[in-house]
Amino acid sequence: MNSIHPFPSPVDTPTGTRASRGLGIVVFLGMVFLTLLGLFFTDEDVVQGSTVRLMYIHVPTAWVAYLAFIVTAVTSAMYMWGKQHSLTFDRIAGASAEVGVIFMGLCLVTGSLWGRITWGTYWQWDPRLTTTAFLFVTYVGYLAVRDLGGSHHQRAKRSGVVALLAVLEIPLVHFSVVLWRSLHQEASVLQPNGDVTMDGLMLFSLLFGVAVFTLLFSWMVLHRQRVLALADAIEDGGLETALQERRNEAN
Amino acid sequence: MDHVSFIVGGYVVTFIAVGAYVLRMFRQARKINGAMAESDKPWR
Repeated sequence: MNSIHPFPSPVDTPTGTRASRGLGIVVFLGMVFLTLLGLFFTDEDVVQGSTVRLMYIHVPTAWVAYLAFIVTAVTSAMYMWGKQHSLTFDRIAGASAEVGVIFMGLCLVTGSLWGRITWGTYWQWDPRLTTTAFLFVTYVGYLAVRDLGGSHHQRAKRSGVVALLAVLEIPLVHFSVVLWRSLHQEASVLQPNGDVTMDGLMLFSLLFGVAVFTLLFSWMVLHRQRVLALADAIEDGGLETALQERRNEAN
Repeated sequence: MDHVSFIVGGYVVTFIAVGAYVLRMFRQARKINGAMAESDKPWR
């Protein structure tokens, strides 16, 4: 008899494969190393002091959220304009948006902790913060739209339209620090003139964090879209049973 | 290190949030696993 453990091991989850387990181990080790880099191995910044240590998770969470929402838009487009209208693309879109919302929320939390130390306040209605919060709420709305009901294809079309519109907010968020006067600092790595103003180990830690969080995102979406496939199969099974009951009643 | 509680708190919140999401996802996967035969799972 199968039992549901409160803390299931990743090695025996029904959505796991040998490759995903390998990826999971790499991600775990990467996160441990990133934490060591961020909290112990890197020096304090001459301007920000020790608060720069929050950057090694804040920036990767923002990057992964952007990436997740772009993946949602691309896979939604692949569903809508693909010849087969494969629901796998829709499930990847949904899984990616869900993971993106988690990371966008974490970006807001870690950013507000940084703001409390640097600016003396957790929140300001600053262009970057406000547009980021708006992006977060938009994708919470996207997830609500996915849960409105109807067939899987109705869900895919409906949410696909929202995804293609919502992704247009990302350039607004990213360039908000350039378009308007903002408390938020401008880009440290990808400056418009190509200059990089970070020290070697700091830059490495930041880029390493982005790489590890990107792998974490891939691993989470991989599993989540498989869980969504199982959930869709349950719904299909329930619908088939209901239809059979109606046929039996009619006969 | 200054502001240790804010900095470590940021890391802890991040890991707890991701861990809780992954845990919930795996629990749901185990709960609904019976909906699909092993042979129908394209990843198997």
